[in-house]
Amino acid sequence: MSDHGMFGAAGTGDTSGYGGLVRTPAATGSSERPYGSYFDDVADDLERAYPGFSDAIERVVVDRGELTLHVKREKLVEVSKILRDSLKFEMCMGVSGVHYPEQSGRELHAVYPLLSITNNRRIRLEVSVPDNDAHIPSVVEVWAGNNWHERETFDMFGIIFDGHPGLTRILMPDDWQGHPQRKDYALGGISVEYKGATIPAPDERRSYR
Amino acid sequence: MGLEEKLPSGFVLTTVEKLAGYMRKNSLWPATFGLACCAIEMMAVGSAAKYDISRFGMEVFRASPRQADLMIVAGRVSNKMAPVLRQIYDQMAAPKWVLAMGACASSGGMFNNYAIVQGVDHVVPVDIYLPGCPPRPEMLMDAILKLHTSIYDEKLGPNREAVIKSVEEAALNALPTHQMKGLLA
Amino acid sequence: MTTFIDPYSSSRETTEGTVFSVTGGDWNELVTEIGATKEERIVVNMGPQHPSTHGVLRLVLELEGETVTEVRCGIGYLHTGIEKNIEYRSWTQGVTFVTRMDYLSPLFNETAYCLATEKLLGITNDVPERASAIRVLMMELNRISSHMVALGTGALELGAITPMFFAFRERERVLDIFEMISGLRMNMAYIRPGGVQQDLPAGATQKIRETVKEMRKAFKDNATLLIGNSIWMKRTEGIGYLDLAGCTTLGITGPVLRSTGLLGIFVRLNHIAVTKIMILMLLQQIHAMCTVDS
Repeated sequence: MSDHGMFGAAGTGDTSGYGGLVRTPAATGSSERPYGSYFDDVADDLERAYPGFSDAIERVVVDRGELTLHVKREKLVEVSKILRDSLKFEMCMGVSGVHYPEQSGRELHAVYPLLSITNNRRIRLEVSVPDNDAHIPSVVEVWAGNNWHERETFDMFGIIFDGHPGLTRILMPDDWQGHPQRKDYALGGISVEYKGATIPAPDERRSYR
Repeated sequence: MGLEEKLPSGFVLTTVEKLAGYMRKNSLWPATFGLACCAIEMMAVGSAAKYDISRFGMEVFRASPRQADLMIVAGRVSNKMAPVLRQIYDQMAAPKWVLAMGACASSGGMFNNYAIVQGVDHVVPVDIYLPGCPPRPEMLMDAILKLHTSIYDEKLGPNREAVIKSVEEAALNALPTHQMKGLLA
Repeated sequence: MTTFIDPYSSSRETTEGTVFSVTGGDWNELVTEIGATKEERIVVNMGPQHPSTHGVLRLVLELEGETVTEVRCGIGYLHTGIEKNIEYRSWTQGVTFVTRMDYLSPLFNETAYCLATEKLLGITNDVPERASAIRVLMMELNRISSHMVALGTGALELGAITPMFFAFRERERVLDIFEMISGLRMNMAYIRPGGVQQDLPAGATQKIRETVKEMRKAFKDNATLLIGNSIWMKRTEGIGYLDLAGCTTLGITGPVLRSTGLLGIFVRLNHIAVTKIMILMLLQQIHAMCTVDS
């Protein structure tokens, strides 16, 4: 029984039905000025307040109404301090980890959403590190609330935050091996036994056509 | 249980069984083991707002497992929580029963992954499973009432050993699940 | 593999103090290590199973008498790997997982997920006005039910049992509305990417209006019990003080941030119908804040 067509992916656990669609990968270049709404002001203010803007910020991406600054990891703490003090981004909403196994050399990303209450603005910082050297300086001294978020990102992705006061596992048991949210970590489910049939775990199922 | 062992089973023993069963089922005290969403439905059942288990004498959710009879495992049990679950179960004094409330406690539910124990019967022996996500408070009460009837019918002494032996024999001779014919086969 | 922390090493010193690795079943070793360093302090483990924690949170408390001087939190007992599960599902099936993340406010989780999905698809402006309004309506009802649990269980922990009954009574009213509209009391996957699962059934708005009228009267029960109650005030006023600097450092928003006195109104207005509703509600809220003497 082999039918072809767009729907139903074979060989993966993708039951969404859109496995046959080919998606263009996200563009890797910078967005061009003008960025729109308050993003230009943010970029200008940052350039004014931080002379090393051009070698710290790798890319500025404006996508779907949101501004993302890609920062080099060595300059992360400096940029964060400038953003917090001069541009009034007082609050950091945490750290999210992302794993792109196909981007060799830049597999692990850490994303910091920032919020400015005084100006009602939101931007995002993104730092990329390679898998074999997954170290990012910790921003706990800038925004203390990131303490547990960085622990979670370490736990789930294996990104080590240098300078963190006490980087341990927070969600998984302390002696867990591996970093669960990475793409190469298996889902870990078991197959379910019914009367006369077995349904495999979600990452090993056939596509339902 | 000294006296009943020495008397012949029959009239005296069955009356004691019925009496003990009646006593046990009518004031079963649950231990709070609310973990996730099912815990909120369990609180709705215990809170006497609309669905009230104090009519069965069960509104006292004992915090200490040593004073509790029934452990209602309400919610998903993660791998980190499993040793705690076992410890609480061990701290309960016999006679004790376990009610696996919800799909996650019965079988891992929708979370078939690395983090969740696929059914608390991997950790503690379960007496009654209650499906649902989350089960309505009426479903929880129905499960508790079914558990009550099975507690009432529990045997003591030599009758109990006979029951255990027959159940084990039935389980050993039963048709395994993968040989049964269901809707999927 | 990245650097691996040896789980069988004993405590190690960091800038924050001593860090202990616990694997379970080693409570005795932990206590002796902590006890060896301090004097006259009682270390209490308020473990993951505890009626007050309402769900699982492990607190290692250091007490001096009845005052807690230090607390170390152990979390992760409810880590479910939801995000990894969603990777193997379609976008609509993801709603059923996301809904169970914060099980007291399932509709809020769904809305956040659906708004993000719609933004990724670029269909934010194609969501029907009515669907947006229904989303806001259901979310606000969910807010009431969630706050009732908070109020009820908060009072329960302080020893007041009756407010919990009153609060859960109101919550049952809201859950009735949810059942009428979406079919389920809790964890209803009602808000989906692109709108709502189905339109409001006939008679829903009428039922909501009646319920709100009854609730307004019924809230007085809890209000008379708690507001102005000297025990309640002594147990809650001035406890756990966190000023604006603390809130921004820790990234705290919501009622805690508002309690610092910051009159900021954070509303993401992404549809004109929502804007009208929210402005009306905000005006009502400001009016309520001005008329209650604090």
